[in-house]
Amino acid sequence: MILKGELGVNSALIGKVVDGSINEPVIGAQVIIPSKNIGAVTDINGRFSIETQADLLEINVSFIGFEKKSLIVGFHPDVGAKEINFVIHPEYQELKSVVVTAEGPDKNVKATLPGVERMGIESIKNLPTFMGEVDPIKSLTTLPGVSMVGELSTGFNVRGGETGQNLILQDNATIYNPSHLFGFFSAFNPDLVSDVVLYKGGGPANYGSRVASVLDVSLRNGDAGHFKVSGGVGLVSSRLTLEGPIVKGKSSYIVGGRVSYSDWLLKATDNLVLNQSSAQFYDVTAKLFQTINEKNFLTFSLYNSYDDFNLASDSVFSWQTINASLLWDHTFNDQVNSSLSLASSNYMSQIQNLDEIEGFAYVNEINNLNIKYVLNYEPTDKLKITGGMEAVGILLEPGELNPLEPDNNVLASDMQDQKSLEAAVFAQADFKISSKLSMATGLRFSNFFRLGSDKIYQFDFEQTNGRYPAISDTLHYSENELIKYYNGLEPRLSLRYMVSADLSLKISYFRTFQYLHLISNTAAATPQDYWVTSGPYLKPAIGNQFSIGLFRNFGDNAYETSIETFYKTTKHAVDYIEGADITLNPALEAGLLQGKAFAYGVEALFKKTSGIFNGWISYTYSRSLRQFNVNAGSRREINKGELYPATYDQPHNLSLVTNHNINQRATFSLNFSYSSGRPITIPVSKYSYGPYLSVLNYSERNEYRIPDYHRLDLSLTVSDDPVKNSKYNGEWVFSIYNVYARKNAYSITFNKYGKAKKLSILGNIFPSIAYNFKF
Amino acid sequence: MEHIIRYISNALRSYFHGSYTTTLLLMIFFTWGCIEPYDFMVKNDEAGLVVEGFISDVSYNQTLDYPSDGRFFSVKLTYTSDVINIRGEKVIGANVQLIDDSGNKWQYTEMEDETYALLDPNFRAISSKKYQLNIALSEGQVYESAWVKLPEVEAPEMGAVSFTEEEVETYVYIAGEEKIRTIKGMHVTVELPENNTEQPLLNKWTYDPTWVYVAPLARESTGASKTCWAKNNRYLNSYDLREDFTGGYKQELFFMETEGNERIFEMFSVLIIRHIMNEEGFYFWKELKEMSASGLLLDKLPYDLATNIQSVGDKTRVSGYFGAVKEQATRWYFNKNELSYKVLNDLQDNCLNYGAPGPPAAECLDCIDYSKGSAVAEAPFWWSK
Repeated sequence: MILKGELGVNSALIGKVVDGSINEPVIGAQVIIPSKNIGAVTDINGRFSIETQADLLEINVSFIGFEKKSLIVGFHPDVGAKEINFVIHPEYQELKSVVVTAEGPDKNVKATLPGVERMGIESIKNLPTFMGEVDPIKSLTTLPGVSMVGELSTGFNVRGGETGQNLILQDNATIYNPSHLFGFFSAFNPDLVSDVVLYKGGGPANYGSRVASVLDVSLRNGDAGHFKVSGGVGLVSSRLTLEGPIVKGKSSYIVGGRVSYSDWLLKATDNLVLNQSSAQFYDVTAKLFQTINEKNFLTFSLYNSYDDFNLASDSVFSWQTINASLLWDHTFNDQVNSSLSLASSNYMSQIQNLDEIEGFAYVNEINNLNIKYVLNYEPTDKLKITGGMEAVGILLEPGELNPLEPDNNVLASDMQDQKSLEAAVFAQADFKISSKLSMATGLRFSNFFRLGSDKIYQFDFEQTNGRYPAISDTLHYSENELIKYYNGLEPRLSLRYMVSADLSLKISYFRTFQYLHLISNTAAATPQDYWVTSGPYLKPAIGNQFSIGLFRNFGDNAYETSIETFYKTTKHAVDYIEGADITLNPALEAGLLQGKAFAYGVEALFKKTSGIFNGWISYTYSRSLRQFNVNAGSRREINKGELYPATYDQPHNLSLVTNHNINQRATFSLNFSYSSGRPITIPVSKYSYGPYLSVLNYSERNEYRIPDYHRLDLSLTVSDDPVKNSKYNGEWVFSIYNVYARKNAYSITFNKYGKAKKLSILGNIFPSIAYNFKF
Repeated sequence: MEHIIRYISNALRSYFHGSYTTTLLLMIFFTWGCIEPYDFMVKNDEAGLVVEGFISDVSYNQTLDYPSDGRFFSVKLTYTSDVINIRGEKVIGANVQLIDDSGNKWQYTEMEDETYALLDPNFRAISSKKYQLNIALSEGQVYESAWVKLPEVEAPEMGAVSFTEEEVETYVYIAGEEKIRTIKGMHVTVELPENNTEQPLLNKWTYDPTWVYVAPLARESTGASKTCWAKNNRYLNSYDLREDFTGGYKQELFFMETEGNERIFEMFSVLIIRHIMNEEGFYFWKELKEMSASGLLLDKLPYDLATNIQSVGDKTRVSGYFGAVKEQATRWYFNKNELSYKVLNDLQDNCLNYGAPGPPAAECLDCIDYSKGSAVAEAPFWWSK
């Protein structure tokens, strides 16, 4: 291109850079003259100006996510053109290995806090999927110390903890059921998730209220620059996400939804019952981002998910989550910033029976409102102090049964609602003592108030009513009257010592209190599980976890290795007396026991982080044991007071994940997982008695195990051929789940005569295909 | 109420833990799912002893006055079987004794079935005594029950037995399809006098039915019997429980279908036996009922029934319960003409049309051959109708 100018004379080289896909100026693009090593950055109008001596010049324009452009410019006094207009287009080649992060590649070695598993959404998307559905929770179970008891489980277990001992947050709002379709699909929309962090243990002091782990899922902000569409089409569900600026560069929105259409699978079978069944879910996730000024930012997140199914019966099972959260980030100065969040979480599960004679609706709910203020002070790069406070109001409906018709054959029943307030103050200080030693210390002081109105049974443990202690009195509490108060100091301490530049030793101790208890009679979390609060007869669970680990990287951080061992005790772990009724039992506490849970294990990880062939192998040996006797604080013994395995005790867990980037467009992934069979209580003998031909005698609690679990999955992701100057980008995901058709046992069930049957959910090879797109 | 809770729990458990609906769940999305038999290698699967028996404050001779055929106290002794066997073996050659806290002993006699009977027609439990059952197996293993005693509460006698006609909707399966059908029947009730004892009465009712069966085509000239008195120990063999605090109401006992029920075509009688139990025994039978109602454990985690029998000297597993109860009984007769509607005796039609072109069924020609129970041609001594 020839511009107006005289050779050898200084002049201003001015111009504009435009995004050709939307015909809008590009802000912040680099315009460089390599031969002179000078350049400029485009302003808010996409314009630039470079003072230079007129000559034959090569000018390069670049901007992240856009193709580079070069132009040779000459000068002549007689031409009219005074400006250069660059038109650049988004570059839609997949950035396979590019992870934008503020953390160094040796973070795993140098971070002070151990037991933190972080997965970017790109890593999660690289794993083989079931039906093409990306699942952040299942992805985490490929990491050491995290396991699931089965395919149909909605929860996960961390270092020998129960599913109900994990705090799951999505933009600060609690998710109580993180799954769709009984756990086959994650509740998290992968198109909106930016980051998933799991703290195995208490995490920093600003987290609390669960003794096993904290899973913090962050949603990303919508693109403040451009309108974008992304989505995917799968065999049983599809998703669509829209995002874009509200005020360009200042505020944005993102809204995504998923909907299932699994019914076609049912209708496709020859089974009449299946034809009459249905199962569906949907979810909607939305987030608004607003820049108030350069020091104040607001985000508002909304989440609504719904599931229901019926199986050719009169009963419809459904569950729903409605969450909302508001976050205000404020920067005081370079050293001090704060965040204030307000979050509401509401979870409800319901069974509706449409029977003509005995129709009913059974519902349980948990609702909470959380307010949290966090102040961060980072005076130097060697010290970071965080402090704040948090309060959570919780309202629980443990169970309510109502007849569907007023005069049918069902008596209404309503367990007493439970109200509580959990309030905590916390402080965390992370500092480097020397170049080798750093420390993270935290202290959380949590307080729990169980409030009325409520009706509290007084039990006489010397007298029994069947298997239960006798009810000796009933105390009535008025609205907001204090029923019970608990508090606890929760110290956390982590030390990291750099043995060498790429080898560190980390030691940690966490103590956490949990005031909510998940009541479940199954090993896997299911929608009928419900929460109850601590109270006069149900003390808070207290977790103490110690861990020590070695972390070493090799090959310029291309390889990460670690080995960690942990020991954890949980005081006041909940189990059930023999024959306890847990559904609609107003005196539920009479059927519960509190004892001790122990977990210990060794976790090993070898990870190749980069290159065309990457992935990891993780292995965990761990035991989760329980003891309920007088010494453990239990008023009654379970299994004669001896140690016995928890229902989720799986000593061996192995995961192998590999990704092979075949070329720029195709990635082949493999996932192999193995775990020991989980414990089970089985009938070991039977007899006839009275009018009954078969009465079963059972083994000791969790004395036996179902068969071991293992499975191999493969997937191939192929991106569309990039089209020059096209915004559209698509990819096909071909997956094969359970490649060698292992009939893994989800559970073993028994008929009334005690005969066992093994139930396999996905007992065969399961291929699937999905198509993802964005433009 | 309980059945609704049971329904909820069972439905959920079915979906998530087993039974046929789980299969459906899986098949819904994944016709690749499957259920197949699985065998556990059960450890320490030695057969355990099962004890079933009771004593009451009513002796054999007193039970004759109910009126009834009479009941000796007995103890049923069997072994548990592993879960793939059909039935546990009976215990042979055991020495079974009842002792009281004064040192008195009563010996049980081994009978032909699985029972050992206390053949003292005058023995009955006395309120001031405690009793213990001792069992010595032929192999030398010794078992003993806890000391049991009669409940202290003095329950007023049961009131009149009556019935209420009812139409009940129930499910029937026609060509594999579930249909709702209304059936006619009656709920038999017993009046419970007011309970002024200020203690709960823990009741268990059992039933001993007898009915007249007339063979429609029998000709006595051929030596065949036309009229018999029939029993079937599997008919009305369930039991009902009630924890009664107030009394003064009609306690529902059992439901009998009327139309098409040949037991009421002539004359029907049932001995209604009431046991007033101690708390421990009451909850044993309550849990037994709950456990056995569905086969699965409903909303409960697997558990064993409580027992008050233990092996002496070791922790060998024992099952069952030996109780001491207060007993009442009343005999009730029922004639179908007491119903407000007619019940058609269609036995003759059925016999004439049965099995054509072959001969009628044996029970049509001789009541002794009655197929739905055991029948005798002589009326029980107590039969008064």
